[in-house]
Amino acid sequence: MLCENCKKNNATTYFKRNINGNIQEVYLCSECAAKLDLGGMSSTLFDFFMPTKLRVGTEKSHKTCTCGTTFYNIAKTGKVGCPDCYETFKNEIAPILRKINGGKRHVGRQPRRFDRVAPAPRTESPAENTEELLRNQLAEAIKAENFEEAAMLRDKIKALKEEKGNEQQ
Amino acid sequence: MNSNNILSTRIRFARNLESTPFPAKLTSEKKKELLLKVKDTAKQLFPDLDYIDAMQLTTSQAGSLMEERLISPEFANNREGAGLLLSKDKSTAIMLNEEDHLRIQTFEKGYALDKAFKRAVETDEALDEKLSFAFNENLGYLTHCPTNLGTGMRASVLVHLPALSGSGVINKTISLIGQYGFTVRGLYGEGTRSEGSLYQISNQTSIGLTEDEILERLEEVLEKIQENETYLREKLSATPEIQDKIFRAYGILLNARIISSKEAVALLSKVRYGAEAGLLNLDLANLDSLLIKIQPYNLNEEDPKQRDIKRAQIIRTSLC
Repeated sequence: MLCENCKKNNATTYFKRNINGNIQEVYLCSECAAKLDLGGMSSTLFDFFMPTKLRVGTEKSHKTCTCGTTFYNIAKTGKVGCPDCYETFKNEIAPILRKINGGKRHVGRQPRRFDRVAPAPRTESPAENTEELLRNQLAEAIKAENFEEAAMLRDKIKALKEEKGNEQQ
Repeated sequence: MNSNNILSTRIRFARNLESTPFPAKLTSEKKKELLLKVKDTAKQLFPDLDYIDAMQLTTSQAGSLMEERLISPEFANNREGAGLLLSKDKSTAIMLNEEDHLRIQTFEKGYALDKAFKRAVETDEALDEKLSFAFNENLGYLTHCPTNLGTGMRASVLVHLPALSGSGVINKTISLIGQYGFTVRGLYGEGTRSEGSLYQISNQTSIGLTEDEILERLEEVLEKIQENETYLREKLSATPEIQDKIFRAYGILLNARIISSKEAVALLSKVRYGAEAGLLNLDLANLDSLLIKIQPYNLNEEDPKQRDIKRAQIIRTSLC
């Protein structure tokens, strides 16, 4: 079996997590498992589900929130810099949140100033979000002249589009 | 539901100011500014609240507050630029510049989720009018750690489970309620061990459910736990072995001249069990305040040996 993260090496490590009854199983190669730093008990779920690729890829990213936080900082600490980071890094954070809580929307109390505002439309479907995320990664990869990575991302986007096309038929 | 083994109830809301970096990203100067702003606003709204500058607290004073479960261990250990708003009766404690800008906490003795929740909401609403908390319609209240998004609420109940814990069934219970989105922690919260068969049960999920739904679920979980605890107790309480343990524990506490914190907590748990089961005629509230008084920082005695002597003395006086 191939590692579910890098899809290159043989998976040697198996992780099982039970979050709110959602059983999640991951098969990883030793390299990816080590990068996830699963030994550190302090790592949060958010941290746990940070894709290694994202974590490594974002070192070069220059997108910075008004508070000075980059996504690399968030990936490293599992914590966000300011409330606005959630908007700045919306596309990067969304797939991870989906893993932690199934992409659930807030349904509880609201500050009074929000009370009479109609509820926001549902968030984009996971597929759209993933595609957008991949496109961003592709742009980054091209900028960094990392063409091997870019080719892989391009294939992924293509595959995703075909998948979507099939679903709609 | 029988609730005489429930020591206390707590509601906590994590709240942050709009467009302001979280405390970990703030300079000392900015933290101070924020403290002043929140403190002044809160004192205007709730004159009963006293402000405590965390930097002025000694390690021992901070430890005492932690033992009373009014502040978190993280707050006690990292007091730079932090503050606490505490009501005179200690039923409301707002931590400022802990992980989030505000951690609004309300406490009730015994089992009183609705009462604690109502007070937390009142405090939250009043503060929000003046401070404008960071909020997003999809993600809910925005917090430093993404696992607190949504309601930002943690509802927890401190419960005494000697039968489940003594028989080892507790481990099974912990894993079962984990599947339901709830977690069991030790006395002082995250990462702390259980002592004296005391467990904090709280929600882990804070998004995708309304506050009321979370409270209802917590209630369901508790009812189930209590059912199991009661069932085991009915089988155990009448046995001479258990009764012997309870009365021996009482005997030691009444007579010991030197006692460690660990031994005292373990024995007090047995004595509380006796009182809950009607075998010992002791006031439960008195036992609970004793449990706090005998903790290391609350004893306020630096020499370890003298501390153990002082602890034994306090226990004897209190139980006589």
